[in-house]
This record gives sequence, C-alpha cells and structure tokens, in this order.
Amino acid sequence: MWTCKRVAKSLAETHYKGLPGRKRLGLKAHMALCLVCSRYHKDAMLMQDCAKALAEREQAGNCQLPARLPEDAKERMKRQLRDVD
Amino acid sequence: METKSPNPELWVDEYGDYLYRYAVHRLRDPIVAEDAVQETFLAGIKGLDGYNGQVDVRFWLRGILRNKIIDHFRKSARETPLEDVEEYEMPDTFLMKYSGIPTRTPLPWKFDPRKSFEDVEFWKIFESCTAKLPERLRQAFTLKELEGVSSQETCEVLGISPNNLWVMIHRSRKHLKQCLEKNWGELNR
Ligand SMILES: [Zn+2]
Repeated sequence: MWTCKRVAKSLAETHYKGLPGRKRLGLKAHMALCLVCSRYHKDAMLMQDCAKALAEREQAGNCQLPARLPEDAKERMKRQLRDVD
Repeated sequence: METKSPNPELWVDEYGDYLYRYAVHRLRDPIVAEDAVQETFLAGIKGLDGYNGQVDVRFWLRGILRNKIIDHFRKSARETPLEDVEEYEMPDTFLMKYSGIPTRTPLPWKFDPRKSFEDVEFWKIFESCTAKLPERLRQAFTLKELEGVSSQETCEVLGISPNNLWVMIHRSRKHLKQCLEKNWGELNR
C-alpha cells in the first residue's frame, strides 16, 4: 500500500502522464481511500497541464509579454555577428 | 514547417524578438535577457557546423538559449544560498513545511483552469502569477514544470536536495493556485 509520503513524492517528481502503469495503479488505489491525496493529485495534474500548455504557447511564440529586443541591442548584435564572419 | 538554411545575418531580425521574449520570461531581467540572446547568437555561429537542418533554426537557437538560461540558474544558485523555507510564508503545517507531505485537504478549485486555456487573458494572469513566485520557487517550477528538466538535474542545477525540490514544487503549485483563484477564478466563475 502506498503511503501519503510516497504519493506526494511521486507527484512532485514525475509528470503524471509519464508514470508507469504499475505506479498509476498504486496511486489510484491510495487515492480512492485518501481525500487529502486525491485533492493533491488533482492539483498537481492541473498545474502540470497548465505548465505544459504555457510551455507550448511560448514555444510557438505566443507569449503574452509584448517584450521586444531593443533596436540598439539588435544593431549591436548584427555588428557582432558580422565581425565573427 | 519548412526549414530555412541558416543565415546568421538575418538571425537578429528573424529570431531576435522571439528569443528575447523567451529569455525575459525565464530570467525576468531585460539586461540579463539581452546578454543571453547575444551569447546565443554567438554560440550559434560558432556551432553552425553542428546544425543538421532537422529542426527549424528558430528552435535550434532556442535550444542553445535554453542551456544558457539553465547555466544562469546554476550560477545564481551558487551565488545565493537557498533561502530559509520560512520565508515562503505559506500557512503550512509542520509536516508540509519540512517534508512536503500534505496533511490538510486542499480546497477544491473554484473554477476549472483547463476551460480557460483558449483565453489569452488567462495566460496573462498565469504568467504574472509565475512571475510573482519567490525567486527560488520560480526557478524550481520553471526547470521542472516548464522546461521538463529531470528532478535529478534540477537538484544539481539549483544545488538542492530531492527533498527540497519536492517541497518547493508543492509550494509553487500552491502559490499558483491561490494566485489564479484570486485573480482569475473570482472573476470568471
Ligand atoms: Zn494519502
């Protein structure tokens, strides 16, 4: 039987989708009996999904921050890249 | 996606903003972010022989920048030792504080964030919530959850024990949940 400690640890260490089937079963069995862990599990999965969705948006260039590389920095970098050539 | 042949002269105009945004997000300091982007371009030119054309140049450069960001975290962790866990000011029990074991039942979510994934405003709030995390928590969350770095490597980069990491990840999730409930959930039920 899984202890609360083991559940908490495995949820902090691995993305829930990456847990092997055997582990998932152990988790599920514990979760069915323990309300604290089942809520924790839900929170962990939700935050992992949020983080994953955010990382994908960022990779696609959909950041909400309107940050742009300042023009003077761009000019400086262009000069430097030319010098390396 | 079509793969363009790498032409360093055009990199700054084509990928500068994209890389800079990523760097600002991760490093939270415009000057440091600028340096990281510059180093990335230079490393890209020097490592051009290693580019095999299998991924878009944009993602190849992003990969280089990712390593620069991780190096930056490693360096800053060496310079500033881990703050006392007490400083995180979370109303935890003793067990939660020192070992990450939940002892109180978390409250159910007042809304389902997954239903807001298509909403641009939600991500603005989410990003501002991650930016508000205490720095070390933010770094742990960023490496582990956003960058998908393994637990072992995250501990090595941040100079912390697996137990520290585990508590920090729990704590960052809790911070984010509270922040989202407050700034998004209450307005969008
Ligand atoms: Zn439990």
